[in-house]
Amino acid sequence: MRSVAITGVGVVTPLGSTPAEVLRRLEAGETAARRPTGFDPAPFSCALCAEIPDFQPEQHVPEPKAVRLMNRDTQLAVAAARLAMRDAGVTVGATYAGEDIALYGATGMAGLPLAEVAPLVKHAAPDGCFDPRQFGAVALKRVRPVLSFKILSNMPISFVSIFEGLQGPNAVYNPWEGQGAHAIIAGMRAVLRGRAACALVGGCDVKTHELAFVALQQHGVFTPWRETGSGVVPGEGAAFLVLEDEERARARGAAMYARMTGWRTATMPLGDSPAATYGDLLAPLASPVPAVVVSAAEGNGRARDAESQAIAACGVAAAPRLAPKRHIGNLFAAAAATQVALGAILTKRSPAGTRVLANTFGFGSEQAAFLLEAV
Amino acid sequence: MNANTDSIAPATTPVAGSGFSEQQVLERLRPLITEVTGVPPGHVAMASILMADLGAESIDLLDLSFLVEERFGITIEPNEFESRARARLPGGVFERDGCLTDEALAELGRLMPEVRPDRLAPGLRRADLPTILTVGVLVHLIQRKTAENDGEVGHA
Amino acid sequence: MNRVIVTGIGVVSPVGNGRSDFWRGLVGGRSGIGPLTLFDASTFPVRIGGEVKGLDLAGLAARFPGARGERDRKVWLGLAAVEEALADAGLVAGDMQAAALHVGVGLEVFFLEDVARIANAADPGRAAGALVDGPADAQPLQTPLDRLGQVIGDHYGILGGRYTNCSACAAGAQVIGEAFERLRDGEAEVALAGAADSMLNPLGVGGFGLLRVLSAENDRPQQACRPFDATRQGTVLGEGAAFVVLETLDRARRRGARTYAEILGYGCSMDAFRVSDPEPSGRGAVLSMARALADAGLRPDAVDCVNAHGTGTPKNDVVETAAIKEVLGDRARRIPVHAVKSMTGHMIAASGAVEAVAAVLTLVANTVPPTINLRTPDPECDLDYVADGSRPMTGRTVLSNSFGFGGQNATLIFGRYDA
Repeated sequence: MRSVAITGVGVVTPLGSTPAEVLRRLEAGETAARRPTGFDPAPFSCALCAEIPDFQPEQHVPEPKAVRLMNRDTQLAVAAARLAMRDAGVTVGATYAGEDIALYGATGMAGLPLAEVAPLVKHAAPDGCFDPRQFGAVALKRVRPVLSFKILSNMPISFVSIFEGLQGPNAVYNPWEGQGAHAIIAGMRAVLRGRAACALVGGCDVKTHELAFVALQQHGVFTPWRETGSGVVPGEGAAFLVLEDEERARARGAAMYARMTGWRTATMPLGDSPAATYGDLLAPLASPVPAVVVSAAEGNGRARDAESQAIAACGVAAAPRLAPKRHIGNLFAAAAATQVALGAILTKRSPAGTRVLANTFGFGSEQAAFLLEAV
Repeated sequence: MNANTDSIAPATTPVAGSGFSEQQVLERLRPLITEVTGVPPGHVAMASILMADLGAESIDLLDLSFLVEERFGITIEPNEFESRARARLPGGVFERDGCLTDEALAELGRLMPEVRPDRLAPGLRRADLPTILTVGVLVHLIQRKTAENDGEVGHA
Repeated sequence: MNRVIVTGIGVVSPVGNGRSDFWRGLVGGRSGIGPLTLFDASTFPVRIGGEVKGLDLAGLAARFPGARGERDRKVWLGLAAVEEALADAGLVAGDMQAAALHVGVGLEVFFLEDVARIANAADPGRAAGALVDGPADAQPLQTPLDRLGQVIGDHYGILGGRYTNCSACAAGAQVIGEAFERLRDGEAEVALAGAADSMLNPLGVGGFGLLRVLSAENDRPQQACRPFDATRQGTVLGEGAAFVVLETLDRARRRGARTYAEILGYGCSMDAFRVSDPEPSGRGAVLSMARALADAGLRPDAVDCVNAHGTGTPKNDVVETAAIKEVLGDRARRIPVHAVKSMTGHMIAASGAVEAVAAVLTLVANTVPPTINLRTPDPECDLDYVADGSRPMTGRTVLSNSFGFGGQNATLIFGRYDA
């Protein structure tokens, strides 16, 4: 029976670029949630976001000329993926062939800062109303061709495959936390079924610009802010994990963060109580009681209470809880990998056998949780 | 680099009728080539082949064309040299079975004297034309088009 | 390890809507490409595309109230295909609770009309506010890519996992492949897998056109997409959707389901080469096909037909031809290799699923569809592309390729199922 180990972690988040740093700052009570720097949030129900300060893509992207082809989501993904591969000590072509490394990622709702999409519509709306004829005759000629690469949702993962040399089984999922969880599980399955020796899994997302806020508000993500005074803090970031067959990892002397001992997924029926879905999902993972729970709670009244109820129902209420999303922001497509990454650093510091539960609940119907065990 | 094209400074208008010299064009072109290829300006020479020597791929050529248009205030047709060669072959055949005809190769050779003749050899396909482009071809294209613009603008 | 059977099919395409009309059009060599009518493309460099015609949007809206008002056309294309597939399989909402749902989609559309109102406003911040404070039933700026999956899932009560895959041109094949693996591995007994895409809007046609991979032969739309032809100028964008119902053989037999064909194998790979140029030796394509064969436990001489990716771009067709030869060896020259895109155009995410349906119908109807518009052979593309019209095909397997923008590649192998 194969088992899967986490051997590498790479994160680029509003509270730091190593899991240890993120954890330290979370434990110190730091928060990255503040007023957006790029626009005035007054029109929106949410006035906060979590931004990454001082991210220099040229420092992380192996081919600087490629930066101009990459939206910010992509830049963050490439950075986090490289950190993860280096952390794991996996050298493509040496540790494993590129063909034997799978890549499963999740990307978020598409979007670019207003300044980047403005060229698309400048000159295309002479009387304020978008006119396809003007778009074709005038606006299109002034659009830089590289823009096309920035609006395709699979490109962040494609760039990761190019820069890391990964040629194995793959897929890109989209857009919420649950699809990020699916990416992690797809990578685990690839390793468990012997389709790949190693899998790089994770996600990236940037929801800290104005058009993202428009989309999130319109899709009801900010409704709890209006109704309860607290809610989701949109963030930006990327997180990747290197998963390996545990035996092969051991054989090559890899340092392991954790064994992926268990995971569960559930599709939440429309209109159902999240507490019931979460509870059914967590029950098999709750015994023996994990030492720590990485909670998916954010200031989102209904869901937060639902997770607490489910945790209590499973008899895990007493376990200490870490709630990163409130302070690091909701990284959406990157959230699941971030939750597991934080769980992994907790297991790494713990005696063998210690279990950490990482919940990756969120928007959309897909919910998941992962049980990590220190080795 | 800002993807917003407003950041690219417009070309300085030369004295009407004099046009840009090769050096003047090359000076303004080098930073654009560096932007799309990552190759340092000092390594960009007239004889440099954009794809083979400077590592440009398809999107880089498209991007360069766009940046050149913005920087120099000219318009570059999608298949600039192909169209001009075809126009000079009235009744002639440009390609046969996917390969450029000898007449087409000859015309292209006349239009792009910067390209080494052995690169315009039989067997070359239409789709391969981007692979023969050199910095020199682009420089002369820009000179010609900016001079044409000046001619149109005249006394502005 | 379970055997996996296709028990239901639904499709809408530029060539025809519904599996019968689609198949008739395909074997009849009917081109679905024409001048673009879905928006005013008169000033665009590329003014042709493969449009789905005659879709009853009002009827769909009445039957799928969960999607009412949705502006993203691919959602409606997907619903039309799903509706047909489930009806074909004889399954209703109550049967689908434990089913898995795998949905492939491509371009996420954000509505330039709304972007214009914000970007061109004197005070963009205030304009953004006006947009979000608009009427409650106003449609959002953009439709998340999981919208189709959520509408399908909620409508049919699908609770066995919903996956939204955005792997561009490989998505349609990947979702069927992943659903196949899930059933084979025993994680579910039934799955609904498919894809929908429509790039036929200003953003899609305009943006994609900037990359110069599209044919601009606006004066002869029906001949514009010429896979493997020496004079090919590029691909043509299309739109469409296709879904298949997959069941384990045991379950299909238990309920007496129709058995169209079996899925034998799935393989996928990444080029990991460059962003805008395919890797010239075709190693990604070779890997994808080789893996599918290994997954199916088949040798090259067991492949009886190739449903090619065949986009009609100068690069893809020659690289794919070389890759097919490398994987299949001598067998490559003795079997039909055909390009559905010659008739449908490139439906991006939907293509892999529509072509999967074509592969299944090839086996059921014992006929391989033609590659149309192939008049001038290309010396570098020298396989049998079925250029002279459809012909009988009594083989037992079809291999179907889908190679994506960005370097993702997927291959499915379908096999005849004799009940």
